[in-house]
Amino acid sequence: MNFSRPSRFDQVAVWFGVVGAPLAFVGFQFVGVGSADGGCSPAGMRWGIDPNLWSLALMAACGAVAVAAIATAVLVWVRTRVEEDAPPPLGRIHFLATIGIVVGILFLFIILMAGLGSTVVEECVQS
Amino acid sequence: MAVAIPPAIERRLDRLERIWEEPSGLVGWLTTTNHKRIGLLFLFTTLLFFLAGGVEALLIRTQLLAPEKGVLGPDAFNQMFSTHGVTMIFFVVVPMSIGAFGNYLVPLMVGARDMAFPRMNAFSFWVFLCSGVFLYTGVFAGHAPNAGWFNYVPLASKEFDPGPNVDFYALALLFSGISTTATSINLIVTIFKLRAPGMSINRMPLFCFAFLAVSFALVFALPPLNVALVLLELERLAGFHFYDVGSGGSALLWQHLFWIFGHPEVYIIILPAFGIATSIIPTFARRRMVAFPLVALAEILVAFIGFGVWAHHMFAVGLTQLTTIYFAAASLVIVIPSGIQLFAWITTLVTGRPRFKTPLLWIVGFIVFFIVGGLSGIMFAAIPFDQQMTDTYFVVAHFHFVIFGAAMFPLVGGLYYWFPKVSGRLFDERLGKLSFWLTFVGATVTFFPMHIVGLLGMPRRQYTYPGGLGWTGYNLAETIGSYVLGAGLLLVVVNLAVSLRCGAPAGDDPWEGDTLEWSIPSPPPEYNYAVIPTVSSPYPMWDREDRELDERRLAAGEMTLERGHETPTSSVEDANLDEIVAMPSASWAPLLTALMLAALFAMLVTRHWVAAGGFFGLAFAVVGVWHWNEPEGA
Amino acid sequence: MSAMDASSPAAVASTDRRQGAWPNGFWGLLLLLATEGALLMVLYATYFYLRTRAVEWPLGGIEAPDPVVPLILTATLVATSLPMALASGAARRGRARAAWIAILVALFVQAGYFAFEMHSFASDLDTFQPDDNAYASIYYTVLGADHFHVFVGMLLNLWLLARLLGGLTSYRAVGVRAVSWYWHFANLMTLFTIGTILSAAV
Repeated sequence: MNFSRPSRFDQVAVWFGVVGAPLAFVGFQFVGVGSADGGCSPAGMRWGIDPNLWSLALMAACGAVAVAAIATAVLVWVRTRVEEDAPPPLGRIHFLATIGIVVGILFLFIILMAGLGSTVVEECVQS
Repeated sequence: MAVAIPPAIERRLDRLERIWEEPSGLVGWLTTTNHKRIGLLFLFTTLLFFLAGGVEALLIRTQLLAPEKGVLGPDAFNQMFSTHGVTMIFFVVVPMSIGAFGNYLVPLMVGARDMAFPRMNAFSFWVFLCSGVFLYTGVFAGHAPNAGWFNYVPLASKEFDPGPNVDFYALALLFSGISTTATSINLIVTIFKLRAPGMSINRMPLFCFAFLAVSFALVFALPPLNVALVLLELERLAGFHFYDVGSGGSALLWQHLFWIFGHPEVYIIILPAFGIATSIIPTFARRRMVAFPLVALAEILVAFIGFGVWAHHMFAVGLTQLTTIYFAAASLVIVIPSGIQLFAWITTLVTGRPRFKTPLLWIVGFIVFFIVGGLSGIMFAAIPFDQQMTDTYFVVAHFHFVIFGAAMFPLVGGLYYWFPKVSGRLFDERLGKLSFWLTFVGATVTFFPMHIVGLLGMPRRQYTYPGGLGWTGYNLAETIGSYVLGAGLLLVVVNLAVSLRCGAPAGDDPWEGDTLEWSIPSPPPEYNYAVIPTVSSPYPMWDREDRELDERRLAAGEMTLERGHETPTSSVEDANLDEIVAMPSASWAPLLTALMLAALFAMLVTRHWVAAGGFFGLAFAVVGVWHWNEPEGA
Repeated sequence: MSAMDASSPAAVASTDRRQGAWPNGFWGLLLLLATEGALLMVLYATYFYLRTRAVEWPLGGIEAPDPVVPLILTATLVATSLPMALASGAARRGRARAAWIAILVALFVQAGYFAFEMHSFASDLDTFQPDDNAYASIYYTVLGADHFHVFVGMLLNLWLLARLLGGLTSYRAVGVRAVSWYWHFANLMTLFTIGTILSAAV
């Protein structure tokens, strides 16, 4: 069976599809926890950081990156639809695109849950 | 059945044996750089520590057999449960997984002749051994860790714990962390660069995905622990201030640093078990793993998300609600990759033609324990529930189900599964099944009642409890269960030890396995593969055409690499052949470096700073000499 | 003869050109840098965690560090990435002598930097001690960790100079490449260190 060579676009885009959402999650968690904990710390109170506002902004920005990553992964998946054991690089790229779709959805879920959760809590109240 | 080997091939095998043989006797073991020998050294050492940790557990359970018993006083009890935790996590489960199973099997699974850095591999083992001896020197001197395996300040500060107990804890972990980091780096580079040509990422066994994930997790999880420990020792030994509030420090700082390490650590504990389970299931189900890409993904995802959930161990310390929400969200989602794996494993078994031999029984036991332990874990992601159950025996139940049930069971199953390959003999199947049932029943009776007694309010880390609270009967059952559990594990050791001498010959492939290690003799020759294998799927042993091609290539001398101590390296993504590289041979340098480091840590714990500095310099010098010697080619 | 035995300049250069993938030793170093980088990042995070627990910073009336001298010194150190990169390029092309000279130049500047930093460290100790309060403790710990990484880098350079006296092989060329990347890492981390330390002056 002849497998065509994947395009340059597929080879590069698939990596964004795989790592885009995880990196968006890293930024979300890092900046989010930093603003939530730091914002309610003695120094943070003086600097007037609004943790809930940060949470919403992060949800929008990081959520958008995650959505873009999912879309890219779906696109590459459709373009490289082959059997599981296709020789590299085509089989490997399709494999990674599958991973990207699932990964992206999971991280988008975390971002949305935490971001929306921030709307129901008051600021700087102990858990 | 013996098949006559053609003389030309016989000559190749002889040549390879001569090139790869190591010195014999004790010198051979002390200078070995062979991954199989190092794997066995790790295995036997971790089994010894398992015995120590088990004795500690039985002493704990004996003390808690009935209210107000006098087997262990409060100080001794604190040392006992702290040392039990430290031993089991740092000196049994993780080194057994990556040091024993990882070292022995990863090169075999990827079709290589050794690990990427053989001398550093030996160094990993000697450092591990020295760090364990260091810790237990403290234990036998009456200075065992006594502030829990998590060692919270201010209890662990100099003010409240002035003796050397916590110093032994901190320095032993810093010391053993060197070994774990080295092994992790070795595993990553081996999996990245030493795969047989053709074994692209999507054709790599799931075992390798799990070990890749655990190694990356260790590379990033150990630094926070190292920082926490160094800051603690600077505070204890040199009067620095990081954790004491009175001087601008923060007690919560320790908790954050520890759990940023500690949560990934628990996924580090379970991931190799996932890898072993995903090796055993396809073999005994006699079909490929369902949803292979998703299982591979799940193994990596669990490690990755695991870095973002640490404060769920701190839901009861007074963080703000918003802070805890970030962690609750991630903690809820992290169950999904585990769920994906569970569905894949169960579906593979149900839709296959399962043979319930001993290794598969241990994996089924693992699945049962993982489901229960996972469910109790996800309950903790709900903050209100967590705040009720924190510091009760419900937590103890949860983590023993996942650490003992879900991490240890696959390790024992893996011992049984690969025992024929490593020893060349078969174990007794009936004794194997008996050992499983004893251990399974024992573990259930030991750990399940802990859920109930925790809900009834029994706190953890208490050396005794009063009667009349409804806890007594459950504790008695747990103690009886622990002795049954101990008997089951003892039976495993007896079975394997006896089979080592008297077992029937195993042959190359007694299980009709799917991965490459089953294509070579049992036990494997020093050089592993006479011909570097051809690979076109994650189940190379089930691709008959590739295995027949390998036989023809062996006869023709293609990719047999008989000119020297060599192995091929390939590209990371698609495993295209890159270069043939020379591998180092036996060396004293790894052992000597480890001994210098052992002396360094001994000087630190006894506060001889200048001598410590001297040994540090010596260690550097030995490393310099070690790298002066470059691996020779032909 | 295996690829790593290549020892003539032409052989070393052609081995380097032929290798498509990064060598094993290079990957090993990258992973070591990943773990060390994570360690330093955690230290910086600790600094900022302690900072946010305090209203006044630095604590205890300690003076915030003056930025000028540290910034100049840091720039000097970061500049040594250039000779190290040149050394790596020369080694990969089989030019042992050029690599040796470039490493020597880098080491000379790094040693000067280190000497100045030790002097600065000592004079800081005259003013405030690490056991004064949490600011002092984290200040000395962050700086000390950075200086330690610079010191190790200097030892690596010394080792390279000694090893290259015996000629250049592909194995040693990978070593030069790896050490040059160690220095890029150490220099980048020094930038973060100085940013962290000088944040108290903001």
